Amino acid sequence: MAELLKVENIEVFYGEFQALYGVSFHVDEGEIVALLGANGAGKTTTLKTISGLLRPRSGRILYEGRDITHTPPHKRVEAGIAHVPEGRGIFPWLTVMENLKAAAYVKRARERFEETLEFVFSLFPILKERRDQQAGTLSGGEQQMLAIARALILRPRLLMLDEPSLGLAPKLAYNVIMLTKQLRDEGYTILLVEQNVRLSLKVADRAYVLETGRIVKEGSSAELERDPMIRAAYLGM
Amino acid sequence: MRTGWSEIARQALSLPVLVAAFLLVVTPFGLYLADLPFIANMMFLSLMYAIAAMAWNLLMGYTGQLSIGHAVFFGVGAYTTMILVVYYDVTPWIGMFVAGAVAALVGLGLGVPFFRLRSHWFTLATIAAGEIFKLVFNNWEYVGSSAGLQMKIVPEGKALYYLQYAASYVYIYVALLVLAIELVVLYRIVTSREGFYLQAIREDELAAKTLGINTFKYKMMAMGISAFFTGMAGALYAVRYHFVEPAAVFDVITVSTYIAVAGIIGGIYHFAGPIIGSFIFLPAAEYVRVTIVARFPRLFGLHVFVLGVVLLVVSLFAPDGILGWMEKRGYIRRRRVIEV
Repeated sequence: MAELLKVENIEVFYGEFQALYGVSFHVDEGEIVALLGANGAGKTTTLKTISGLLRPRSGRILYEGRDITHTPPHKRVEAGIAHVPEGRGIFPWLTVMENLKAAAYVKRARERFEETLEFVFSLFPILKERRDQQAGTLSGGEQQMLAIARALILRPRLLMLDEPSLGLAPKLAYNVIMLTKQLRDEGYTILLVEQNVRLSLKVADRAYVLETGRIVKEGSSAELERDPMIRAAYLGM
Repeated sequence: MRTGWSEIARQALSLPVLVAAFLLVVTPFGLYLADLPFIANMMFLSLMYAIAAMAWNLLMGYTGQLSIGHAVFFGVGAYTTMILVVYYDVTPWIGMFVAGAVAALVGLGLGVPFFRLRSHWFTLATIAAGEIFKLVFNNWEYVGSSAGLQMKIVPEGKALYYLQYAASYVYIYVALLVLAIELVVLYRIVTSREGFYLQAIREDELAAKTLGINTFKYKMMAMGISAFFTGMAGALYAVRYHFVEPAAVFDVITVSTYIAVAGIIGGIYHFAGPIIGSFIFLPAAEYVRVTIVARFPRLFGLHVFVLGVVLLVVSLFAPDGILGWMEKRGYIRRRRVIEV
């Protein structure tokens, strides 16, 4: 499979504080890759660096084989990288429809907006029902759906989800994470950041484990599920 | 899609707008006939601040960037007009637009470093900018240092060229003209795709970025347009009062803060909020200033205190401004102008 994203040895700082120490990994086309770890491990920082909201002090990021380390965020979206930020980042005072329209900014999204909208509404019929409702009045699960729907409007190749299960009831968390499988079958490549290790390993093809800014484990989901250290630290077994 | 001209015309011809426009056009002439120069001056000030506050609100209400430094653009606009007419004999009719352009350039220049800052840090930087400009103009001999610049004696029969009239109602019409131009420009922006992106930035800048919106570019656009019309308001000040000095046009209270307060009192989330706010706040400010200062000359500055209390009361009881309060009570509805 072709390599879609390659992160090479990135070091990221917040001022003097170093958040990532030489993080390297790759995501192949058509995969679900999970980035796992506890609070403060550097998962969100990694995603922000890939979408360009943070700049690494050293290291490179390659997307479709091109170096995008110094590309501004909006150009990366144009190239097909969509980031659903932690806490969803929806616009609460706008309606569902307006939120979706806000994503139709880049050319690739605008040209095929109607078509994508239909697909998105088929995935999330509830959003179609609530299209004229203010986004802030949706339930947590619906807001998460809206955030993912909005990212899909961008017609990305790589979809990055930051803690999509955060703050959701177990049943909803399960649904949201299972959704990534459906999306992969539709042809999206997914980079999933989660604290819910058990669920993530169910859907991911491969996973990396971050601890205090370093990748400490990597492998297929099946391998990691059997790993004694993972079982003890993250699966409570 | 931009709002088409026919749509703007249709909305401009709605009854309340027509009534307001009619009153605005007829009132100055009535004031002239009734010989009420004090009221006429209040009206001019309200319009001048309305122009600046509308411009300010493109940054505040629409883009979410609070500036307490709009005196920079106001002062630069006032000085540009004055320099052009005094040193180069350029008519203020042209000078006003040059003033807007120069202010816009200053705005873009400040935007580059300032938009690296977020929320209150941005605000602090704008306050500092106002003070820096005041200091520079206070010590810049070319523009008359702290003494400022005075309009020259206008030759007989050239009043129109130099825009110098004894009666203030003439300036009200000039201000109305500028406001009309501004309203058309701003309305087209806020109802366009660009205006929608400004609001996305206001709601959640990070989310806007992840959607591929070049937030820096749009904030710069808002800054440039905002500075342009604030500069034109400064130009109106220069022609109306025939005199500019750093202490007056770069003042952090009577310019930067008044503009912001007018916008806040009217309601920053309503298109016309800053106009309403200006027409309430400026007459009140003028009235309080004249009566209190006249009655207690030794307590100069007390009027600012009184105005502070007014602002406090409004923020407590109508935090979304007067139009926001009316909306909450159901007297008016906010038109959803977002159309992508």
